[in-house]
Amino acid sequence: MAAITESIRNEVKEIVYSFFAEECEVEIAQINENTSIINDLDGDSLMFLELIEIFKKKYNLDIELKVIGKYAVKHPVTTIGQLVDMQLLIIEHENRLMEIDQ
Amino acid sequence: MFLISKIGIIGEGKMGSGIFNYLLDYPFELTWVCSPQADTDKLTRQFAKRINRSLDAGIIDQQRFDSLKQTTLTRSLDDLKRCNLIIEAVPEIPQLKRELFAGLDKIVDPAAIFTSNSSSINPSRLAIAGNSRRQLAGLHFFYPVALKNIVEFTVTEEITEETRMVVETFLKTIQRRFITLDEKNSFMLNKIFLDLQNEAFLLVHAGHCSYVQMDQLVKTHLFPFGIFDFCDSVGLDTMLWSVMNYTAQYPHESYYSQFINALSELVSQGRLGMKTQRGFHDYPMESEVVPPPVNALEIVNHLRQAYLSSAKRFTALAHIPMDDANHAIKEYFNLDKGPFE
Repeated sequence: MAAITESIRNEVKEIVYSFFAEECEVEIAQINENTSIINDLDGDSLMFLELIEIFKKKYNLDIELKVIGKYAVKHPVTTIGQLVDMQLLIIEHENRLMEIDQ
Repeated sequence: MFLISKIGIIGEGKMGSGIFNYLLDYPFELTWVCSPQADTDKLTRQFAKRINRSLDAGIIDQQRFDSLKQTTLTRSLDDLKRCNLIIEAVPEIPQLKRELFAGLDKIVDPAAIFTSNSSSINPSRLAIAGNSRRQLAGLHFFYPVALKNIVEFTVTEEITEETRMVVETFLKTIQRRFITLDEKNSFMLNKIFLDLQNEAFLLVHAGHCSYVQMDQLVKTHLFPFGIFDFCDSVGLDTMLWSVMNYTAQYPHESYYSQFINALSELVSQGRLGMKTQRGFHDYPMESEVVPPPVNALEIVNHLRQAYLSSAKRFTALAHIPMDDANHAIKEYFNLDKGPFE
């Protein structure tokens, strides 16, 4: 269970913003926390999965996709801000993500 | 027995792209054929960026990167010539799929296995003169492909033992659990869910609660998603096709007629679900919680019974071992516990 520092928070945000800017071919400046991943960026769940792989590798996370899938069904992500928050929760709680709700 | 090495995936919808992206993690040579309307330049750019990012992030090594660079993204069916497994994921229109397979029959190696990701059309319905039913099968993946560890493998009566073994070996290689179904019992998981959808609809239709109340009750007591939310997310036009295909095989088809009529009515009004912002619900949905109906407990118990009896009936009909049925149903409904646990 990792403590989320300001530096991790900023790093995650930067990776997510850069990822969507590159993948969706938009300027980073056009993305903010309220940007809709589907409606504004034409993004999809595959992008979400790729980001998880990147964070898994970067932070050496022990997290199964199934756990994230279950969490995402209960807490759907539609905006970039929500996605950053969920990535931070994944880094913080890893496979114990579902325990947040208990 | 030959082993699958070159796979062709047809269709760039969410299932086609999901299957393509999932298979990228396994050592196959992939060819992804998109429709003439698809922006393959954009898809190719995205794919190149993705494998570059994966290399940079250390997710794949240089050798894997070099092999992924051999992946073909195309609009031409001719590029499937060397494939020994075809997985089609084009729209749910029998004629379209039949014509596709007929065309492929002239292009692809005669030993290749043709499979369909259809969620409602049996593989033998896709055979036409010139096609060999022995090498046809259903491979029904579920969305999202990366997360749902279950595939329905539908076999025709004519399937050869070798084809069956080759496909089973392929599914084990890609680490997907599967249930094998004959064509009379195909699409078992969707059929279990259809019974629930129908029961939920009949309860709403009889005035016991609203669609919103029903979805709230289901999410609180039964499954992680609402029944009508689910229909809207699939798309009511797709739902209608599927339900009509399933129920056409049923002796008690009229049991579903009110639900089918309601789906037809919504589709004719252009209410296709989330993609048109209107379906059973209007979108974006109000986030406020509505009060439960007075007979909430009875409704939940009724639906739970319908779920259990439908799961039991279809599992018995399809002769699926209990453990496999539990796993399949858990994956499908995203549950922690199967109906027989």
